[in-house]
Parts: sequence; C-alpha cells; structure tokens
Amino acid sequence: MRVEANEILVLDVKKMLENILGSKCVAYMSDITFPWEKNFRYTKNKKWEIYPIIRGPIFSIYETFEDIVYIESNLLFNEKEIISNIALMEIKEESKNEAIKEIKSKIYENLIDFIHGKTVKIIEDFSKRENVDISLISDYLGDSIVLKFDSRNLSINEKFSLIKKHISILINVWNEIMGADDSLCRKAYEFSLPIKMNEDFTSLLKKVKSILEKNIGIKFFIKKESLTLFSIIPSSENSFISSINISPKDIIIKSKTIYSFWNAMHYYTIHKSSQKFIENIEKRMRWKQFNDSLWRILNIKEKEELESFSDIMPEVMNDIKQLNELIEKINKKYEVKLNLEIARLLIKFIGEIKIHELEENKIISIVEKYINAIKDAYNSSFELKNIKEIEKYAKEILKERIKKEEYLS
Amino acid sequence: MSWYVSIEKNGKIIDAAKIGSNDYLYSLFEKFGFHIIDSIYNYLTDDEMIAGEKNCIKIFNQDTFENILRFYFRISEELFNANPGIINDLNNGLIYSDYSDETWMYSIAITISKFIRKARAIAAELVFRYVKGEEIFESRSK
Repeated sequence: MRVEANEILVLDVKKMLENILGSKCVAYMSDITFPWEKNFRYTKNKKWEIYPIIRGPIFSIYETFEDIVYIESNLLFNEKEIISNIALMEIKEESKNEAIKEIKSKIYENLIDFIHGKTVKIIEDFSKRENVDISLISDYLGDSIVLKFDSRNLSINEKFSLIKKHISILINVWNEIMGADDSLCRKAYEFSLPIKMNEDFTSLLKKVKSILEKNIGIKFFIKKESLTLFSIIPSSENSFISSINISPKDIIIKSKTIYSFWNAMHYYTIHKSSQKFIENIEKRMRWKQFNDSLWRILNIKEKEELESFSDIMPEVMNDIKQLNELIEKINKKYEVKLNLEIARLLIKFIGEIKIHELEENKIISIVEKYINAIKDAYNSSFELKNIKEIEKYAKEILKERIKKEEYLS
Repeated sequence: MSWYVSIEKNGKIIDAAKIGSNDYLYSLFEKFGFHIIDSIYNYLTDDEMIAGEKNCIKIFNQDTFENILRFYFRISEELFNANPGIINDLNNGLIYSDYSDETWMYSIAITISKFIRKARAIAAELVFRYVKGEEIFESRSK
C-alpha cells in the first residue's frame, strides 16, 4: 500500500512540475536494494526521484528512505565547464567576444566567491522569510541550492502541497540569484553549459578514423588525450600506422617502428665490439654520449648529432642514410613531407600536416595521401637488404627467447 | 586510486559506487579472462570516445547502454550459474561481497547493471572514473 501511495504522489508531482516548467520530466522509482550494496554505494538510496528534461532552476525532487524530501537546483555554475569553454574559445580564436573576456577576467577576480557570497545572502533572507530549510551545497564542480523537509507522518496531500511550496520558493531563489539577463551570475550559468567540441572538428576525427579503417582493414579507436588533442590508434598490431594525433591545428601521423637501434646493434655485434672500448676512456665516454642522445627524443633535424657518432657504429649510420634516401624518394613521389622520428631507440616514419583554416575535404585528401605514402615507405623500408636482415634476426632471437622461456617454465 | 562508477546529469552526481583498484581489477582479469572496465571500450561509439577523458569513460548512447548492460548481465548470470549457493547467500545477506572474487565480481556487475538502467531511464550519463580516494565525491573547498 505504501508503494502505491508513493506512485500516486510521484505521478502527481511529476505532472505539477511539468506544468510549472512547461517541459517533460522523468520519474524513477527505487528498485530492489541488495544487502551488499552498502559496500559499494556512496549515495543515498531514494524511494523515488523526478528529473526535468530541460536544464533550469530545478534539478531533481526526491524522497529518501529516511523520509526526507529534497528539492535540488541545478548547478549555479560549473567551474570545469567554464575553464574548458574558455580554453576552447581561445583555440577557436573567439576570445574577442566581450562576454567571454568578462567571465575570464572575473574568474581571476574570484567570480566563484562572488556568486557564492551573493547566494548565501539570498538564501538566508528566504530561509527567514519563508521559514524553510534552504542550504547551499558546494559540489566538486559548482554550487547548487537544496531545500528539504521532513515527510514523516505527512499525508499524500500534505506532502504534495509542501513540495509545491518548496518548488515555488526554489524558483524564486534561483531567479533572484540569477538577476537580470546581463548579470554576472546568469552569464556564469550560461557559460557553464557544455560547449561541444567544434562540430567540424569531431566530424574530421570520425572521417580520419574511417579512412584508416578503410585503408588498413582493421578497427581504430579514438582516444582523448586532452581537451583539444585526440589520437586515433589501431585495435591490433596488424597496422603500418601506429597512431594519428589530431588537434584543431595539426595532424601528426606515425608509422609502426621500422628500425630498432637495439636490434641493429646486436645484429652488427656492435655491443660485443664495444667491450674493446672499455679500456679507452675517451671512446667509453663517446659510447655513453651516444646512449644518452638516443634516450631522449631526437628528430631528423638533429641528424648531424647522430652522424657525429658514425665512428663507433658506421653500419647503423649507413642504414639511417638509406632510410633518409628512401624518404626523399617517397616525398617526391607523393608530394608529402615525411621524416624519420627517432625516439627511445626506435625509428618511425612521421608526417606532420598543418590543418588550420583548411577545408575538411582538403584535409581528408592530404591525410589519405600521407597514409599511402607511409604505407609505401613502410613496405619499401623492409625491402632494404640490411633492414630486412635485422628484422629477420630480431624475429629469430625472439623465437629463441620464447623457446628458452618455455623450456625453463 | 580506484575505479568508480557514477550517474551524472548536468555536472551533478546522482549516484556513485566504488568498483575497485586497478591492481584488484587486473587480478580479476587474470582470473576470469576479461577486464570489467577495459572491456567497455569495445562498445563505445565515436562520440563517446571523443567525450571521454583520461581515466574517464562516459557513456550516453542508447546502443552502448544496451550493449554494456548485456555484457554485465552475462557476467552476473554466468557467476550465478557457476556458484548458485554462494550468490544466494550473498543476496540473502548471509555473506558479504568481499567473501570471494566471485561474490565481488557478481556485486560489481549487478551494481553497474542497476546504474545503467537508471542512467538510461533518466537520460543521464554513466561515467567510469579512475580517481584518487573519494575526491570526486567530496565538496569543493571554500
């Protein structure tokens, strides 16, 4: 009987709220609560909850199993969204907009504390005037207003009229905080609405992903690296592309590893011959310098630095020279600008495309050209005799190592 | 650091539950052969991939809700079929969720399933976060 009475109340409150807000609301009744749930849950279990679909003064109305009815407002502002929106606007170079400039400057002048202070004063006034329990809740993202009352021993009609009264008070409090259309609180609230990443940019991300899937025949994932940097990565090893980084300004395409210094040095037995250097302090220092250079990220612009080590490993330098010659041929053939990326003892092909102010179709055709160029460069690199031999050698070593591990286990 | 699942709407957390540490979830992965969080990536749409952040997965697409609900339902059903006595004891309050890996996994799967149904019903987002302690549920310091 208790549940049925609640259902009638919930439907009546939902209908009333829909009339007040002029928008649809959704109601949710509590489902079975398992005895083990208290080990996991961080939030109150509620008898019933109602949420308006539109974003406005009312966020939710609910009743707990402790017989307390809560009427909660939406966030007055959302710090994270404000900061994200400003960052996005700056990237899109729309920071000339006066409203954004004002919010941005006020953030540094404690906008949040200003809203907080104003709200505390307003709710104190309302609390005294209306004799209701109103408080300001500081969530992890922003502030919201909460009204509550004890619903024990109240009839359905009494509960309904109290909910109606509290909704009306919350709307009045909200309107007073927000003030006129040009008030700072209203601007902060409006600026807290999540601005989706530029639609053109998300469309570009999806199109680049689909080109990769079409050309390579495997699934790719979009991964968010930061607010404005995304990477597209293959779902399996079976891809000559290791990653594509996309920001609103540029696209960086990287191939899979084509050359490992470690494997090459083993193949050419440079490690063994390096033992001879041990007694020669000067050569030992050079070997150390070379190792240090490799362990930080180098790009081909620093190839002079690498070439300066040709005395201790001429074979490896010759391989890099061949790869450079290959790149030059590919760049001419496809009209692209590929480079060699040397990072952490590994070499990959890398292409950087500046996309700022380019049309989407143009970007897509450039990306497609780079994918084809990298595919050609990747396959051709393994046709180079030494690189093929090093790869073969590395695979054999790996096979032997697996065999040895299997034997030992 | 632990994984949490929450139901979020307009930047507010409606419901939240703790799932477990990365190490523990990895040990469950080694035992059961699937990862209870990483497996979600297989079902995400491009829009959800774009909306997500580092150590944060956001789900709001109806098809994804449907697919991951099926994934967690299958886990709970298989665990129940393999251990009916223990799971019945768990649901009757005779043992706790941390009784064994099976009871913990079953409890996680059912909790997430409940959250999915609720998030779907109230048009909210289901969010998985890997965070330090309970920092996202604490109030902002003033």
